[in-house]
Amino acid sequence: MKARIIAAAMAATILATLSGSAAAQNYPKRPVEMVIPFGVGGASDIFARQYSQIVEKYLGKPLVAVNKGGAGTIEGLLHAFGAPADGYTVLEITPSLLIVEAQNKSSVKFRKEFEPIMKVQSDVVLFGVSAKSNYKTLDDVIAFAKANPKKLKIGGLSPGGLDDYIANGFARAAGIQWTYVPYKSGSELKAAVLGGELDVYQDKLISFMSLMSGGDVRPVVVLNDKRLDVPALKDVPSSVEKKINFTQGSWRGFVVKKGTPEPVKKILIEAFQKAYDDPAYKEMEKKEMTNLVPGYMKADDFRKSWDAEFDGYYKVFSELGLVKQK
Amino acid sequence: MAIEIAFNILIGLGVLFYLAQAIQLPATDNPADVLGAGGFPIVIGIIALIGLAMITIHTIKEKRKVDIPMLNLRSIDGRMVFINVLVLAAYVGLLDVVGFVLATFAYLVAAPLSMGYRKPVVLAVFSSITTAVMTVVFGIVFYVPLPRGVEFFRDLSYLIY
Amino acid sequence: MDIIIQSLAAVYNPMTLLLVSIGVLFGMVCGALPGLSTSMAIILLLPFTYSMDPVMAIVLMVSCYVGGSSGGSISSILLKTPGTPEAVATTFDGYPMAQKGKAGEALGLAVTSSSFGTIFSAIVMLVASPMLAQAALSFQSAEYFGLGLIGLSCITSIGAKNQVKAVVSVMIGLMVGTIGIDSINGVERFAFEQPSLLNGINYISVMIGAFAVAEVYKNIEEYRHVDTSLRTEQKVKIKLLKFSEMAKMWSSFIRGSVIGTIIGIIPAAGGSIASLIAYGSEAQDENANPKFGEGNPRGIIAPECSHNAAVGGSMVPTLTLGIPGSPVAAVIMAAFLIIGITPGPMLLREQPIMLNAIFLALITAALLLFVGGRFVTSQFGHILKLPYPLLGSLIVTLGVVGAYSLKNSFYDVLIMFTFGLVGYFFDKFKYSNAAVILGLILGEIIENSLRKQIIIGDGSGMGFFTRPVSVLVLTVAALTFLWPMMSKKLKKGKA
Repeated sequence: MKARIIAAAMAATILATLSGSAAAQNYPKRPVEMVIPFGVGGASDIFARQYSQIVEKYLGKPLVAVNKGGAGTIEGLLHAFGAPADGYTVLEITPSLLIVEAQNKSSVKFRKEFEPIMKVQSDVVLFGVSAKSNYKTLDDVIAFAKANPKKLKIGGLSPGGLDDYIANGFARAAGIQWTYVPYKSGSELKAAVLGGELDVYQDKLISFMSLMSGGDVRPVVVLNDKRLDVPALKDVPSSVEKKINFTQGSWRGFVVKKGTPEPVKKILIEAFQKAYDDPAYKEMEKKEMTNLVPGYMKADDFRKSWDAEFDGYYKVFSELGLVKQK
Repeated sequence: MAIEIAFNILIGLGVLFYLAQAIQLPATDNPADVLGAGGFPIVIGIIALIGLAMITIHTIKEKRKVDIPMLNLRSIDGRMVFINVLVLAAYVGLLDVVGFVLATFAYLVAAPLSMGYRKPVVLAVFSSITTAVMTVVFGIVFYVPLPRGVEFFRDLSYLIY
Repeated sequence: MDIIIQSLAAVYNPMTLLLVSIGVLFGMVCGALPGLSTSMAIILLLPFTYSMDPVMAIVLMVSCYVGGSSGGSISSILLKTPGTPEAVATTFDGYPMAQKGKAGEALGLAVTSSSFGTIFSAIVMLVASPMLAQAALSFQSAEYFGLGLIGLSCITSIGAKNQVKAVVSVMIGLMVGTIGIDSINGVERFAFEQPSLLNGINYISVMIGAFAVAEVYKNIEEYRHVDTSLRTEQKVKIKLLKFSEMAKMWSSFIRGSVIGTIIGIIPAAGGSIASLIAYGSEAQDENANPKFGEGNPRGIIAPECSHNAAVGGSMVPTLTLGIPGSPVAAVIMAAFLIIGITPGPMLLREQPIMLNAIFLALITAALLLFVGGRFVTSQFGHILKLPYPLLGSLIVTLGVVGAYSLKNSFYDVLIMFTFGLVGYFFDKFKYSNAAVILGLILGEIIENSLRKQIIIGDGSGMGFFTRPVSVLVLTVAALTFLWPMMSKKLKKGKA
């Protein structure tokens, strides 16, 4: 009984301070939750955890990583949506969240319910073939695909995800058809390429490099508007240069729930911005090779970019029959 | 025997429902994917039905009696386990309402009581220590975002983890 | 020679030895707590490695991997709750053994086997890495399918009492496994518009329910009728098996380690599958005494050797090809990239120390596990001294936290609760909960690789029979399925 009285008394004090108008003035008072809508250990998880550590320096309170990897980002989305819009919950986002909305899979509409903080970085995707493959260049691949529609196999992770979009979006732009085969993990996918099960390999730059440097994989195209400024890749043509107007890659950014008080949002944006300018981030970016294509966007531009991307996803996925009708 | 047959029928109905769903799964857009989304489920569903039929025939022949205390609320054991299931259900239900700490503490007091444990002092010490250790280990050391509950309880939880 | 001395110097200094101890211990604790996986343990250590020398950082993570793989069996044996996916198979014989008052023995055995498996695979890794990695590439969809079938063949040994019920249980497990987004064409199957079901049902939460919670229900009914004074007294005895006794079971050690190493090397198939297959191969012996599933020590040795051998095995393709050999190795590889090291053939050429350092870290971690872990873990056996109402409630609470922490999701707790009841009734009607879990774990590999192979073959399944390795694996699968029946026939023939 005594414990309950004490607890009630304590809670009452906190409530009083929390609900006061001072909410924004002394923000942040406690650690901020960084919701990562992916499982532990992937590229996006590790990015969010590293970036949080830099932001921490400027925000003055720790950012605690919370993995909510269920239901293909939907659980993370729902979790962030369910928390109060007080700036104590930040959600990491990637194209996956827009794809989920484009496919009409979640009851919570991402673009309507969240507001951007900033977009931090972009990844670039490369296509390659096994070193043992008969195809030497992109032209070989495309020539074969044109002559034999749907015969070439390209791998990726998860059906109906970003990799699926990239494979099919590229094929559309290049006027070819191939078969997309989804794998459960990056390791299975890479083994399938080296073992000869898959004809075309797609991956983001850093993972691509690890296979390429050993001479196991031959790059054929960079999905970008110009060639990459990396010595090993200077001879690899870009998709735009090859007259294939398709340059999608992954990117990572942060959002908060709509309705977060403006002053609080300002503090957050400032801290995230300072982290971006921090040499520690530049170092991290260099190691992960995410500094080669421009990714950084301020909140307003970031918001605008969502709609354009959304339309692209909607178009390709409705053609594939992956948009849920309700 | 009757209970076991009822149980088999229950599973059988579940499998039939599963099969009905599997048949409705949309055809695939990839002609090379011969089995499609429904193929594998249909195969395993049918094997399960055949197996169930064999088991049911065997049960009818064998006429073995199975004792299930949970369904026999007249026995003390049965009541005890039944109440325990309810206590666990309440625990699970309360987790997202009052938060991890309070719900766990309440469960750790209620569950041993429901099993007939009657040493209040030991119980109080055990429940407090276990709750504290779990909260510290999972919530603080390993950063598991334990359920916080709603409103008042949510704010309360920020004091602890 | 220089390289060897350099690597020795890099690993055998007080700082690194301290890191190995921290890694092993931290991994073990994370492993032992249900819901916290080895991957999570490594991620939590990651921030501390940013400022470290790369060799040290990797030594720390590899030792954590070793500790985590081994720690999961503590809760498997004592509480029937696997602490990690790798420890699933250890519950089959570990828990019954603990119930017979041999908790300390079971724990000691588990730790000893774990360290044996680690050392075995570390040596294989050092000696034959590049060669094995190339061989691993012959493992493609068709072969994964065969591997999944070999895993399923365990049911003939697990469900020896009632084969038909075991088969139905496996099918139910497979059916539960198909819930969620179809991994080939992305349609939702059996999810009924519930976002919680989209990613499928996690087998660890099912297992905590069907094994641990159902067991608590069962014990609530029984504990007052069992003479507990004798049971508790027996339970407390912490006795370690003598080496001579273990030496008698040498074949199980070797078999488990070989299977674990091979499966570790195969990309993406990690310790959880390795330990199931090792258990299945061990449990083929029907004349074992005590029977498998009733506390046979060899039923602990084989899976324990196997999942820790998968640690060294999984480092082989990670280091030589840049393809992680297990889900945990994938996390370690991500960490490599952050530290600024690109795994792959270049690594071995440019930084030969790295391979040696990992080798030494594995060996040191294993020895540490063997010397310290044996005694530390056997002390956990004392937890069984608690009066049952307290112990049972503790197990359930741990189960709830464990299920929740898997994905920080409340749905997993609901799944645990549901399968607690399902498991209870399955037990009563002699269906096999172990077979349900087996189907649930392996269903995805089986269906996924079956369909992938057919797609790769443009709609034809001939690939299964034209690929030599596939034919070999499928033959082994067929034999393991049929062996128990054949051996019975043979015996009848003789008698």
